[in-house]
Amino acid sequence: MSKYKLFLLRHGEGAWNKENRFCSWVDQKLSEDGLKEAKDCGRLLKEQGYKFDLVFTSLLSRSIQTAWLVLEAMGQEWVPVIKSWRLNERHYGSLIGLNRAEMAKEHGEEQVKVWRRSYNVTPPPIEESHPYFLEIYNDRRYTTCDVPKENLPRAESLKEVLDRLLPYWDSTVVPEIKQGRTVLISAHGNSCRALLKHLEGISDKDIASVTLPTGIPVLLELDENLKAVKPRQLLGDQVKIQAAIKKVEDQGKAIPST
Amino acid sequence: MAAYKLVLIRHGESCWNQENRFCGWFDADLSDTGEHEAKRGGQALKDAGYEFDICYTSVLKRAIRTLWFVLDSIDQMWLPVHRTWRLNERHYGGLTGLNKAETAAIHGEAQVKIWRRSFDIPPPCMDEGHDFYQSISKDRRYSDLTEDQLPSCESLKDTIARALPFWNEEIVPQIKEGKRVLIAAHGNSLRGIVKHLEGMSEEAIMELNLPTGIPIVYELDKNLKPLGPMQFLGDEETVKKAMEAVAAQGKAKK
Repeated sequence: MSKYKLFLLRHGEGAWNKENRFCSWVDQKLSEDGLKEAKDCGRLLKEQGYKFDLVFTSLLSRSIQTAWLVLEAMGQEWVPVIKSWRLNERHYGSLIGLNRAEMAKEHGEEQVKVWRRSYNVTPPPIEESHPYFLEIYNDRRYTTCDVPKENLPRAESLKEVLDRLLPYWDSTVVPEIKQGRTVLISAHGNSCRALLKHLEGISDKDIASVTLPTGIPVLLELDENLKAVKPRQLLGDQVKIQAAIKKVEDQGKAIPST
Repeated sequence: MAAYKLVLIRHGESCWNQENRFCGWFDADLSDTGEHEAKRGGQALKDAGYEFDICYTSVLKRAIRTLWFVLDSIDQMWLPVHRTWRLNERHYGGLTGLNKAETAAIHGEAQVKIWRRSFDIPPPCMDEGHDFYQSISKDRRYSDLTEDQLPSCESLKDTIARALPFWNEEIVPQIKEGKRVLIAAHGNSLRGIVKHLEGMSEEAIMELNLPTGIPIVYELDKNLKPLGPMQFLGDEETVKKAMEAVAAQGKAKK
């Protein structure tokens, strides 16, 4: 029996999505299309009469922007928004900034497949010589985290994403849900997938084929132990949802990361 | 040398300002002008290289959205933001929704003058029959307020009385920890903070109209006493206009 409702949202398009490049911890804002996706999502949630009590986002602007636009469309700007690095997109290490073709060229198609599809293989860490190293690690937001900056990841497998997300989920999000608060998590492709894996009990093997479309709110109904009682529901017009799924699949051939 | 710097910003024009209606706790949105003012304020902070550690705002969208525009401009969208009803605009009670002409017609010019010029006389209360009673008093965002806390009308004195505890208990400790604070709020809730910071009299604070959409900077000593008058940030023309407008407001006596 469903006791709680939880909403997940993967933010929409940023500039690099269009170029099929791994954005990861680089702090890009939403593109015009991404802004529209967020507004449409908000409109849909408003039409369906949902009322949020609390929103969680990552520290990356695109997830925060998305949350703000959703709340604005719903007239719920007053709802508290809590931000944490633990909801950040998966850290892609040295692959950050590369597009699919560049990656395949540098490392070979097979290796790229392994990094993207495996659950626990970590890409090579980002080095100081990487063009985006300073942009990420000199950013002041990473001095405000609950771990010292030098302990923040330099690369992550999907498993490692869940390893740093789960404690936050347990200590900070779960108590709110258990108090009956309707929560929206506005995050990223891989942080959403990691959480889904945990809530739906998806195997290490099966998670590779799970993709969330962008800008489509996902409703999870949870029991009193916060386990999913039924399959996740993608909300909205079915035609639109199918188009969104296809878009993500085309970008990376069923690869979820952006 | 200042121990601390504090930045305040009063939101710009709302859709109801355009219509000259008493807004108060009605959750009016920013007009296009108001959005432009917020972006311009954000740009001024960006040009001056301001960094913050924590932000405070009310639960009304015109202040929250102003803050969002600013955070977007200065690329600090990741900052923690605390929203509180205690920074809301003054509650105009039964006058909420009325425009100037309607108010004078219903209550008479003399009564309106009294309300305008009084520090502690509240307007008539918003009762259950009021057009906006349901949408304001029963709004979900106020569900945690006790009966004593939820106003049905406020004088300026009342507004300040519920804003200052938040300033003292929540904001001051953060400032003293060295956190750089940005507050995006409303004319009257900000008046509460300004009156307190500068030790202004009731007469003086009633004469002060803070400029909208312009970042207001205070440099404070370690006891949170301002080292000088408030400064405005922006291009020369905007700042000059704002300073002149404030100076021209009545004869403020401390």
